[in-house]
Amino acid sequence: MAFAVFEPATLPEALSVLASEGDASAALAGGTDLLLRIRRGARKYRSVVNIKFVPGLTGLTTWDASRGLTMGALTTFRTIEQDEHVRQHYHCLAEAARVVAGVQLRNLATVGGNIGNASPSADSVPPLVALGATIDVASAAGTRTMPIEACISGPGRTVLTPGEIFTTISVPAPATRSGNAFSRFSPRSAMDIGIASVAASVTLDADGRCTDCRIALGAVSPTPLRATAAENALRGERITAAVADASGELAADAAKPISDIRGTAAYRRAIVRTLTARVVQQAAARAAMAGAR
Amino acid sequence: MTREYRLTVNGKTSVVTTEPHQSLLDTLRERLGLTGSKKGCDEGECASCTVLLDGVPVNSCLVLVGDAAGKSITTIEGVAGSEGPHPLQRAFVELGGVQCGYCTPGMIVSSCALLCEQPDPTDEEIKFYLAGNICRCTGYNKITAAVRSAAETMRAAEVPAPTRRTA
Repeated sequence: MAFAVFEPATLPEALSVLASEGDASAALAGGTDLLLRIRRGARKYRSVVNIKFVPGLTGLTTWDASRGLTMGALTTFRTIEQDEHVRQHYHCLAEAARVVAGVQLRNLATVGGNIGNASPSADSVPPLVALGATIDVASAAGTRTMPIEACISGPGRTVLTPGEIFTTISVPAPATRSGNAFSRFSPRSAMDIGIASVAASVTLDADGRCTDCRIALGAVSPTPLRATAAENALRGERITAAVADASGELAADAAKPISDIRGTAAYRRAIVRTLTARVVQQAAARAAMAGAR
Repeated sequence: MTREYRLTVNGKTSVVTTEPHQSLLDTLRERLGLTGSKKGCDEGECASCTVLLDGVPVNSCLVLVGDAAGKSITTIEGVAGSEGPHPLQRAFVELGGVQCGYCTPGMIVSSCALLCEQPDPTDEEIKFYLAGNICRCTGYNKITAAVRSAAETMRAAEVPAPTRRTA
C-alpha cells in the first residue's frame, strides 16, 4: 500500500500533476475515505495528490447577502457546522454537518470529499441539492460548473474525469420568506450512516402559500434524488400538517431504496415519508419566521 | 522513498525521516516512541489515537505525516504539566473514568480540546463532543462525570488547558 505523495502549493501545480498522473493517482482531501480504501486494498494508486496546501480550497467560507455562500471544496464539516452564516441561513447544511461521524473526523473530512466519494448516504448531498448549490470542477483544461446532483453518476461514481477536482461550492442566497431543514435517521446518533435522510427548502408568499420548494432525499437511491412530485404537492398550498403528510407520501413513492444490512426498502420508504413531512413543516415554519422579521 | 519531516510534538521539535504514506499515528508510535496514542482500529472509528493539531482534535491514524509537519502536535504525553497529572487525568482516575484504559488517552486529549472551546460544558455537550470516542468498558457515565468534575476544578483553579487553538 505504499504510494507517493505530491504536495502541490498552487492550483495550477495541482492540476498539472493530476493531469500527468491520470488515473494512477487520486486527489487527497480529508483522507477519511480515501486512505481507508487504499489501506483495505480496495483501490491501488501509484500516488496521491494532497491538495490541502492549495490556497483557496481549504476552510474558506465567504458570505454575501445577495450572492450567497461560497466555500472551498476542502472545507471541513466542523468548519461548516460552526460557521455563523451557515447556521443562520442554511440550517439544513449545518444540521447535516453535525451528524457526520464524530468531532475528530469532522475536523478532517471535507464537503468536497463527501460529494466526490459519491456514497448514496453522503450527508452533505441532500442539503446542497435542496439549496440549489453548484460546484466548480477544475482541470488543466479549464473549469466547469454543475449542480451538485449532476456530478454524481452512481454509488461511488462521479462524472469527473481523471485530472479533475472540485474547487468551490456555491450556495445561492436564500430567497425572502424561505426556510430549510434536514433530518436523518440512523440507529445510533453518532458514528453511524443514515438509513434515510431528507432535506427541504421552502419559500412562502406573503399569504403563507408555498411559491417554491426543493426536496432532496438521501440514502434511498443510487444517485441524488429530488422528490419532484412531493415538491409539486406543496406549490400554491399553505403547508399544513395534512399537506406535509401528502408530500411525504409522494416522496416515499419517489424513493428507490435498496434492502441491506441497515434496513429494508420498505422500512426506508416509511422513514422517508415521516422525515419528509417533518422537514417540510420545519422548513415552512422557518420560512414564516424569516418573513416575520 | 523517504522524506524528512519536522514535527513539533508537545513543544519539542524533531526531524523524522519516514515514508510519506505513513500515518501520523505510526510515526508517533514507531519513530518517536510516543505510544500513548493508541492504535485501536486504524480506520477512524474509535478515536483512541486522537491528538491535537494546532489545538484541533483529529484521528491521527487518518492524518498523513506530511499534514502534521509544521503544526503544533499535542499527544497524551503532553497533557500533564511539570506539577503532575492534569486535572482531567486525576478526575478520570478518581471517578472511575478509566477501566481497561485503552480509550483513555483519546478521551482525555479530546476532552482537553472540549474544555478549551467550552470551559463549562453540559452533559449533553460533553456527550456530543466525545461521541466519536468509543469506550467498551465504562458505559460512558463515569467519563462524563470525570470531564464535568475536571472542568469544575479547572475553572476554580484557572488551570490553563494544555493547548489553545492558535488559528
